[in-house]
Amino acid sequence: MTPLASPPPLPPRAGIGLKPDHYRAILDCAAEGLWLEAHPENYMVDGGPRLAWLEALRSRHPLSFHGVGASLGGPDPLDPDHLKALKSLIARFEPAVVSEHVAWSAAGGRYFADLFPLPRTDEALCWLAERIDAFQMALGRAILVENPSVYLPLKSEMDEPDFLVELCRRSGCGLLLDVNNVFVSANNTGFDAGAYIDAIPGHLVGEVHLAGHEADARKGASLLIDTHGAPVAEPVWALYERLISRIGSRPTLIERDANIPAFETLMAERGRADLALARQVELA
Amino acid sequence: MLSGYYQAFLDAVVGSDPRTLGAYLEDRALVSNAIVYRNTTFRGAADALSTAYPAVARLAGDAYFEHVAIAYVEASPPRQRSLVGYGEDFADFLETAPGIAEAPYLADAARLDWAWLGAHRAPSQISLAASDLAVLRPERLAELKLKLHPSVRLLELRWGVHDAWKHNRNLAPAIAQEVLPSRQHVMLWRPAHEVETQVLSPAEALFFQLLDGGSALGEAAQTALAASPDFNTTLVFAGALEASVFAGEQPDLDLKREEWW
Repeated sequence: MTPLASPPPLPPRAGIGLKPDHYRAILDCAAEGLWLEAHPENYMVDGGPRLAWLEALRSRHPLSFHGVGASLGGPDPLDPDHLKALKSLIARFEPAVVSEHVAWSAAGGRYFADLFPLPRTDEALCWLAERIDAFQMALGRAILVENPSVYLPLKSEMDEPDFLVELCRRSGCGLLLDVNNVFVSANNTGFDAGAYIDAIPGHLVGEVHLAGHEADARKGASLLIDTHGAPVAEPVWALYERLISRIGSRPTLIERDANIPAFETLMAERGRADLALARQVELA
Repeated sequence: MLSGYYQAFLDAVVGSDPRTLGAYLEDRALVSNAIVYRNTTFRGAADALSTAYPAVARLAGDAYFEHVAIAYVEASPPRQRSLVGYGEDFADFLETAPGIAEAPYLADAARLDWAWLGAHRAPSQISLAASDLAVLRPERLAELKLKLHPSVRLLELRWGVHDAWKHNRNLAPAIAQEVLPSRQHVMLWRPAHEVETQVLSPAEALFFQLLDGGSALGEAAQTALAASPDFNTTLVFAGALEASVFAGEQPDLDLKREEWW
């Protein structure tokens, strides 16, 4: 039997979240180093144009799968239908990276289509590590897990960086560090975002996310919502610079899921991240 | 305990009872932030519905659609880990939704939207070409059992909503469209990348339903002709072939082709 060739890794460049609005523009775009990230759940269909588009785009750009439906921290067993569909997409599209979330999103057979938080307790850590291990075994590959955006100050036994580092140690997963989530959580639950960024060991970080947030309509700036519906905020860019100047270049995604801008606007934001990454390469 | 936390969280976010969740927070006063998760959960499912049912959303208007979508999410929350297939029985829900009497054709518009989505994401397969039938002796054609393309959806509607549906589906400027309570047969299919639709006569609909059910061409044509003397088998069959309505893979044709040699 011929061993399967592993897909090439993501370049240490800036990528964008894949949106149907931009399919055509991406196909016509020759930007060097551009990579794409898709939610595999949006491609869990039997056939048709959506898969055809992904195939066409995948033939030109590296791809990352960013899952939202696994509910790794949840009470329900891992969903066999979801795993089967995910494995089949991975086999077909050979993404360079597969990631998921430190969160839960299903219970009692119901799917909430949101990322619910977990308290950072030893019990939650054990459960999550066990589940990430089972998920990775089922997929036959290691994953990255993303730090959550937090709206509730849950009673916890450890800080988030310690929780995440221990999670990686126990399960063998890596981190997808979402800098906007760090900023939003720090604002909402009162910790020092800079200290958090400094506490994350660079070798664990396989990918970085940058996204925009918006103030809650009722509570204002005391409650920031991770809407992915706005440009990346300046303080988040500052945290990002702080991160990569310490750990070096990492594949970095501009994540935009709402108020989708024109392709050129999104690519301009992507260009800013790409420039910051290029500077790190020059410095190194 | 984690199990107690899950329940407390769900009580607050899904059940609107935040009392027990407070005990899991550093600051009980911030339990009101749980509404963020509640909004996202319901908003996400309702947005998935408006994506799956764009013509219904447009025909119903934002306010009514929002109202009825949230009611549906509460009654039939998502159960699969992807929202792409969410909303399967939304048309049935609309039949008895409060306020639906003002626009009773919305349920049929929803059936069209759902069939469109089904055709759009059906397995990709090449279609049968007229030349594929050349291997068959003409007199054997009547015996042939043809499979429809996997994207074909056949609908029987109680309201003649197809034109109004299609107009709104295409995001054309809003125009007043009269929708009459008259039975309408519609076929939707996706020969390549675009979903096609066609209003069928009752006899044509019968013909395709019979073929879909496994009847041979001749038998389906005779039954359709018996139902309506105007039914023109040659025209309908040639048109369907031209429109790529039949599947490219035809086990019965392969069988009969072997007999030929």
